[in-house]
Amino acid sequence: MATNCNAAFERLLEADPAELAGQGDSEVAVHVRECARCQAVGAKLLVGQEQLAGALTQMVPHTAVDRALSAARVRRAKAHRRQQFWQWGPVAAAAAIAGVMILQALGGAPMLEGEIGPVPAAIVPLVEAPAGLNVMVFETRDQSAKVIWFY
Amino acid sequence: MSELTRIDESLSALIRGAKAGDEAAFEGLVRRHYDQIYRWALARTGDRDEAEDVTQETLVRLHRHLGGFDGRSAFNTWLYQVTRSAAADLHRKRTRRARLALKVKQESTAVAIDPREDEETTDERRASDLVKAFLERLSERQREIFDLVDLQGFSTVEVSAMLKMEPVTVRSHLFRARKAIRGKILESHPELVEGYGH
Repeated sequence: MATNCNAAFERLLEADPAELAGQGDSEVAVHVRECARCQAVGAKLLVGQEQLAGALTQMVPHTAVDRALSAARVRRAKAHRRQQFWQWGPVAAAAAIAGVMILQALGGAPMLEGEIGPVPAAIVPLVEAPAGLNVMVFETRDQSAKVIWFY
Repeated sequence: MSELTRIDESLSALIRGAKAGDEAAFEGLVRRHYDQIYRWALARTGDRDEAEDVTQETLVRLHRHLGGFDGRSAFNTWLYQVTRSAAADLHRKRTRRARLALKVKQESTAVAIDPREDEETTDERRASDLVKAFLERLSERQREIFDLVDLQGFSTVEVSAMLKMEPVTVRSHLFRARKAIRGKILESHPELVEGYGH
């Protein structure tokens, strides 16, 4: 009996939960059914595992599912924007570079933001500078107003 | 119509809808599996905060990759693999970050405050301590297999499909996990072990 119990004890440590309860036809299950001592060990192991399962079941996410869903939505949107940038960004950059190269090839360098362009010949000057002075005319957002600077 | 068939059909309808871009169906699918994903993530990581992050990442990946689910495997199996892959990637990122944080920590004397301290109830903390005490004895692989088979009731064949592993390997990990967990259980009951020759 002692040898049987020792062998059974080792197997109880690895047995399926049903065998711990003495269910089934396996050697260890049969032994558990017949031996009160091993039955007590099997029962204790089952209780311990059930407590662990219960404890794990109690551990639910702190983040509510609605919050998790909206956070996931925000992350998806960000990822989508990033993806679109990488998808279309290089195309747009290539198009811009091609445009600049074409304009350069046609002879005229493109105007950059803030650059002052040549005054078209057909335009009659708004104001003439007095002798010895220069004049500069600034456009404003209000089309009826212009700033004239003599210097 | 049996209950199981009804469940299968409602799940299939949600998957079809979500794949077709129906946001409500996607939400339904998430609501149905949210706690399950978290549980898988927790067993895999052994850490609540990390499990929350893995769950979040899994939701994003679920949306991104659902179109690729072809129904050849059970949805649970497929979803488990998405969760595992999210957990593995986040773990890699965390390890990198932890190395950096360790450097910072060594230079700082600030006392760390556990953000969960106020959120957890006593019961939750007790449960959390119990889980931690048991699961920290296991390797990551043993932890997830023990949880899936013994605590959640998946068969070793199902788990071998979920983990893309031979059933015999699953059983081998399971036995080692059981031995560690049960050894821990019996540590607090020396009277039961007395008399057995080890």
